[in-house]
Amino acid sequence: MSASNKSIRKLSLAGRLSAMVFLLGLLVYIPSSIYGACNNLRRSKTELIAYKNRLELRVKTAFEPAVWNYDTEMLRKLINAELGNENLKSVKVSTEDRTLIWITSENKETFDETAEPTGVYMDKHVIPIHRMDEPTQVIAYATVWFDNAPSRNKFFSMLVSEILVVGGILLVVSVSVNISSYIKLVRPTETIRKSMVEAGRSALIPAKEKIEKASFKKAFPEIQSMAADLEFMLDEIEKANKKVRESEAQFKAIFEQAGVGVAQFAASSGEYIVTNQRYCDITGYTQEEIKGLSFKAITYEEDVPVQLKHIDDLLSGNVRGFSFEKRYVHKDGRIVWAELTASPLWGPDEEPTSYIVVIQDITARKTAEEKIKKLNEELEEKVAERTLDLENTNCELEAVIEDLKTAQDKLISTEKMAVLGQLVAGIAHELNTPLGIINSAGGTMERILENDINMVIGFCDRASREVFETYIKLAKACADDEEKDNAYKRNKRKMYYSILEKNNMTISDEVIEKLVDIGYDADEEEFTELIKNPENTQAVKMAYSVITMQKSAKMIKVSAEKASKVIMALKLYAHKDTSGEQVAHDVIKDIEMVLTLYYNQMKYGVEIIRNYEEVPPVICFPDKLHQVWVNIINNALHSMDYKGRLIISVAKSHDKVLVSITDNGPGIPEHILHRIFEPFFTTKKLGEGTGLGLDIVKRILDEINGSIEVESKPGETTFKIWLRT
Amino acid sequence: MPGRSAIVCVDDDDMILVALKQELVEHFKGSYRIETAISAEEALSIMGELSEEGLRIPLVISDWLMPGMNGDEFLIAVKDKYPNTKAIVVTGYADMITVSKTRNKINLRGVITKPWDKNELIKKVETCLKF
Repeated sequence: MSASNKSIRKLSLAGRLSAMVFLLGLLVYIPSSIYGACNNLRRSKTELIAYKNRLELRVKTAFEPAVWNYDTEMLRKLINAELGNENLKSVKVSTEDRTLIWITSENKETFDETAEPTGVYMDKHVIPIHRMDEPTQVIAYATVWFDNAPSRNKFFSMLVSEILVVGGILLVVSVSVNISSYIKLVRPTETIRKSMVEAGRSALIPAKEKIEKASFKKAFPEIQSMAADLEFMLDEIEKANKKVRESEAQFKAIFEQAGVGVAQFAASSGEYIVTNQRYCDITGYTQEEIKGLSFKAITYEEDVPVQLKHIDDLLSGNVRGFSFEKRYVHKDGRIVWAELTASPLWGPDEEPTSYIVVIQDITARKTAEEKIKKLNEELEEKVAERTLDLENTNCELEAVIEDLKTAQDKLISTEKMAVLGQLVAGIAHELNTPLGIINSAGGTMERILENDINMVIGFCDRASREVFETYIKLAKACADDEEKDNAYKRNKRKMYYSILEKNNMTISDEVIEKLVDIGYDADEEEFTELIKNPENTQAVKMAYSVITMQKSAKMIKVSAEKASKVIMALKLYAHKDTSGEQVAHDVIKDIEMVLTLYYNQMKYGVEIIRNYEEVPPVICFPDKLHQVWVNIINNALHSMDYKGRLIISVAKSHDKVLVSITDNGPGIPEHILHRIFEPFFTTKKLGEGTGLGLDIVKRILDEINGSIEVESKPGETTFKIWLRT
Repeated sequence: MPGRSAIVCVDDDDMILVALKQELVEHFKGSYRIETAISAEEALSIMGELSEEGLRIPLVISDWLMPGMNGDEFLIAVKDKYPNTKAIVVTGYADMITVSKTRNKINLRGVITKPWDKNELIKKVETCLKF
């Protein structure tokens, strides 16, 4: 309908165009023709008036002689001459009393007074004819009749013919406009329109044929390019359509053969629009059966509200898709688990239309999960059972641990004795040295007392006063003096020998040796004086014996002190306190005691730096605290292979005493640093350590509310021990 | 200066040295000069001086464990410089010398344990000096 309507309107386009041309022509022509006609009219009127004036003048002048002479013939001639003018209808010359001559253009000559010419446009004019010689005297009147009709008619006929010609021309022009616009515009446009209508009906081939068949050679260039564009467009649409058809085919194949179930739902009703084969396989319905059903019909009852909630979210635009696990009721009644993913087919700002749902059968997985869950529950039961067993065992173990704790206390004191055992060898040496000295010095004293004492008494009896004084001097000087060092003594010896050589004197080497040995320090004069008197030799020997006695006694005293210090340390270390109470204890003294025990192991290669501050006594079990120092110092020495530097610092730290023991050994490797306080953990070779040392240290410190920390890097390992005061 | 011989004693304990010297002086009277050194380093320098003086050193009596240069190192050095000098070691740890790898690199002629027996000491020293 609309097409035909359009066609009507289009068809009238050519007519409209020509009508417009026609009207436009008229609109231009009419005012111009009116203006021309008016101009003509005015001009013919002017000509008529001029003609009348000229006629009047001719009548007044030319007619007078003929009238005067009554020459009718002459008058006739004159009048006929005038009557040649078409406007002049009739001329009458008359005097007052009679008509001389009256000639009309038709009747020629008449005297009939009634034959006066009549007509609408008849103009009667009376011209007086004056006497030539007496101009004031009128001798006759000439009456002329003018007829205006001929010129008027001429004017109108001209006007009509002009209108006819112009109208004809306009008509021709408008018709040709009509035809050419039809050919150039209307017909090709119509072809294009029809082609487009066909294209609109998706009939691309007929649409293209229409364009191809039609010739656009005569059409406007714009129309031509429009047609070309349309043709190109149709080609493009055809290509695009082809692609669409292909991808549609592909999609259809994918849709139908997909491994997952796919379904399209109407957003409003939740009914199936279309499903693929897999969807039907999963649910057990055929595609025909399922069409028009609601998802609710085949969803497990419990899962319906869940899905409805999701769909509400989707419809309200809260989510752009959702995914959840649900159950379908298969057509044969069994439950099918599926993982569902839905996505909307409408844009974010569009009204909901339909949505696509993809489902995957996960029944197998769910079954497996159920199985696992069941197994888990069984396992939990078993674990609970076992836990109960374990708790019982635990109770038993706790009892055992209680026993072990008792054993541990014993172990601590046993470890103490084990360390003592290791120390004993070294300590024995530490005792052997002073004992050797005591033994040797005792032997010397014994010998002197046995042999020399009588000599000394005899000497005192017999010696001259001079010699005795020499003896006293020697014995006293040397005994007062500190022991001279070896180099000094050697120099003295050299000096004494050179004095002897110089003065050409001799004396036994024994005497020189004894003089040097007792530290006799004399200048040349004194020495010569001494040597001169041979009796002085005896004085030297006596002095030597006495000084040796003194020396030996001193050595015995010092060595005995040394030995007793070691024995005291041992006694202290081995002491077991039975009171069970913590007491105030001097920590520096404690450390020094341990260093005494280790002295012989350290003296050959270990430098000990003591940084002791004055600190208050610490509260502890003294007999156990030794073990802390013994273990840490023992480990330090062992790690340094008994060569290196040991720094022991004692300082006040807030309300505690901090003891830091640093060695410059290779350090404790980082990966075992956290294990060193574990019982039975040791890096020493089998038999070198029990592996209990640091465990016991920690235990002891726990017992006396102390704490321990260790920092270690190669060349610097520090144990820090805090003790309460 | 008399053309005598010297015995050099080395120990890090000065009282050991005094005691040793007393024993030796007592026994040898003046026939050997008895020199003492508190360390192996000092002993080597004394031995240098003595040999410069023209003294023979037939014997050194040395401790085994000492701070600084140890007994074994010292005796190796002694054998190197004075091949004819014999050595007696006085030590509290006799077993350490027995297991020492340096045993055959030194001119060791005897080991005396602390505390020493005077007669045993003199006997060993005499033996060394004779042969």
